[in-house]
Amino acid sequence: MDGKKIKNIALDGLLRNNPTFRLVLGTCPTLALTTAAMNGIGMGLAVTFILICSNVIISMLRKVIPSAVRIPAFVLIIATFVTMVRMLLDKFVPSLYESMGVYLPLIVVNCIILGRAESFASKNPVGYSALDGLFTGLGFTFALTFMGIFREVLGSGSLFGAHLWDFKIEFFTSSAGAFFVYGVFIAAFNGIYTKIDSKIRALHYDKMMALTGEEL
Amino acid sequence: MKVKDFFKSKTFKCVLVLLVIALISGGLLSVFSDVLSVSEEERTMRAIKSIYGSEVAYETVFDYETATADFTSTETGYVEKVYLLADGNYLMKATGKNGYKNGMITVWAIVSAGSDARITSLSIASYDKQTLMSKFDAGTVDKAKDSDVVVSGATYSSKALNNAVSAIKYYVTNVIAA
Repeated sequence: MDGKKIKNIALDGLLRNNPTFRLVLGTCPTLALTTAAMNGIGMGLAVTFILICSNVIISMLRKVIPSAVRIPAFVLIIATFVTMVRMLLDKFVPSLYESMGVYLPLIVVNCIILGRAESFASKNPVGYSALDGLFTGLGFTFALTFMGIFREVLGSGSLFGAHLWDFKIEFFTSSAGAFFVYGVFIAAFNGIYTKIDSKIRALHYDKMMALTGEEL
Repeated sequence: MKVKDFFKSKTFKCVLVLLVIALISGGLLSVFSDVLSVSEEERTMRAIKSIYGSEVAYETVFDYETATADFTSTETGYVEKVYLLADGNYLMKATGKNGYKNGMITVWAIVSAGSDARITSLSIASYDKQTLMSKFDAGTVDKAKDSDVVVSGATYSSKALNNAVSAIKYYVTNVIAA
């Protein structure tokens, strides 16, 4: 496997094409489940597991699945893994299963998973597809966890269920608060990302100029 | 199109691929379902643990599926299961009808024993078609044990919750306290 391609896949999933803050995908669970940090981690890890498994299977079958039925085939594969995760959570982590409620079966129609299957796994080898699933899933998990921590600390006065203080602003755990926090996080993430990206580009530009000796 | 041509066609390949994926998925899920199924006993123990904080021994004293007595249900709700816990209290599972879109709400209740039997704690077990359940926090649900709780914006769900409580009270009056 090519190291540069792996680095690109990792940077794409975590930062450049972060599904939550850059592509604004998977908005429904992001808004609904980030009232608590634990819910965010749970949802993120469930999506990561399903992303890796579905990407691997879709990549393995990419030459077998006819283009005309690729979407129903992808949905079938994704739905199978979602159902498996549901059964696993119900059996071993019932409290998380209950708190995720209807958003767990709705992972089937999560556009991050279908999007990666269509744009990456169906065109790339198994190893790269698995890594793409892993890093995209981790990008989603980090986003949900940070939002969950922010909303739980300010809205409930607790962190990962542990009581911190009595002060709380209930707005942050409401639906309106979810939209507000999401907007603030998108703005902050993109602001920092653009600043770092332009600095890196400027550095590359200077290096190229030094090498070629002429203005590009 | 001849039969032979159909089997060589793109349409057949599409159908075959989908069929094979569906069959393998179905097979895998049935194995998973067998291995990971959660029994009724396990669910009951989970409910007891979530209420008491620890596991408590119990015995089933009433099951709606096998019971013949009609006093155990009202028109708007019914008691599904009654368990006698080791500490003498009763754990009851009851369902209230007539919720939003004619849906239902199922609750767990702890009922104290004796002639002054009453509901001491109440929590939601499951629900059907109720879209505004997030309006019912633990405090609101617990208040429903004493009075008719109506949550604004979730009036029909409140009705189903109150119907479940009424079914429990009906059973308590006619069986436990009698």
